[in-house]
Amino acid sequence: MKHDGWVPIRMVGAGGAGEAFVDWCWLGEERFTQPFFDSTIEIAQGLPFNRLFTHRTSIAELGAWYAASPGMVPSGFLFHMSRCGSTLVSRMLTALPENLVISEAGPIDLLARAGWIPEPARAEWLRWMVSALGQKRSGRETRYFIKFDSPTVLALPAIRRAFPSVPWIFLYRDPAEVLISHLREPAAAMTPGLITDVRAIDAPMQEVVAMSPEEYAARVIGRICECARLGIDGQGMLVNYTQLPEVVWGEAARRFGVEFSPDEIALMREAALYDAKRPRQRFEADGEGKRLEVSEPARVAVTRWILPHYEELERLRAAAGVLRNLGDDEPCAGHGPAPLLCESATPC
Amino acid sequence: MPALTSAGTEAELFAMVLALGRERGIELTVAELEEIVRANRRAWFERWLVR
Repeated sequence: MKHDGWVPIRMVGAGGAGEAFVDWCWLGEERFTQPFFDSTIEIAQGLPFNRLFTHRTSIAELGAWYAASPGMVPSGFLFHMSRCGSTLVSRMLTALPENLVISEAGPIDLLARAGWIPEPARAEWLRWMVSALGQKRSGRETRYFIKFDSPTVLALPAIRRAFPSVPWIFLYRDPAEVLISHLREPAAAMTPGLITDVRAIDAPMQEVVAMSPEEYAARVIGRICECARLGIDGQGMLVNYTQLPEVVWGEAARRFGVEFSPDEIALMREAALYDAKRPRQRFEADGEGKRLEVSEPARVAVTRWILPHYEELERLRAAAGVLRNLGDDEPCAGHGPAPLLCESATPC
Repeated sequence: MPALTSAGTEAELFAMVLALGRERGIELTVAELEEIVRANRRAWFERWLVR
């Protein structure tokens, strides 16, 4: 069957022993222009056609579509700490019609994190899903970027095995500013006791629900940073919020093997002027306000659970910067990460 | 007949679907189509709730 114009929007039954299915939505040639995948899909679900017709296939159909119509190969993956400017980066990339940007698509994140699906099926299904969402929409697209949900970095090794040649960045920010953002508006993964498919903290549920919101969110955020730190390799790059927005058309673009034209940079600069999640509002820096809100429990939680990983990320980023200045950021042949970052016991 | 995906309103879509049905000897009613839309909407909300 041809699936031109259709996009997979949900996996059904991928968590059980039975067959897995895929729900599709008609999108035609519409681009993904909203801040998140779900927002674009919700608008499409309002079309009369999608209100009347639903479309569900077996997962095998996704594989057949992959074979018949392979999508674009991803130009880069974007992982992040959450509340750290990652949506700004995806909005800037979306501003260019040559870019296809899939931002936090549920079916991709679910398959990436689905440790219960045995390999190699999990990697294969993930490649099928990435391919299906990587179909050209307007026909002008030449680059394909995927931004993952923040806890998906816990599955970084599995993603790297499925896509070993795709460059990636991990974006992070001052831990206190991130934690305060979550205390103001908690995300599901940062809320103690709220069950999602992500198990970021290895502790009994009784212990989890007894944790303060500060401690729980800080432990999840810390774990996310730790996973990025442990997963850094020759294809990966660390980006601090303070480097935005210039890093997107600078070092990150070079990591992705992309060169943006002056006109494209102007479009991205323009996109960066607006609030990423509320694109009609001008962006206003809120870092100072957040830092003023840090309570004593929040400060303690940041210091204990996030700061050590943040400082290590900063150390690695600084070392990588030194390497780039030396013109040598090639991966260490024996160990993966670039030589200065390689912590292997045997010399590079 | 234009593609069903091009329908701008539910009424327009229903008219096309009813015509296609008649061509194939299937008699549908507007009420039946409305019930399908309602059922799909319920299923959509339910899936979001258990996501």
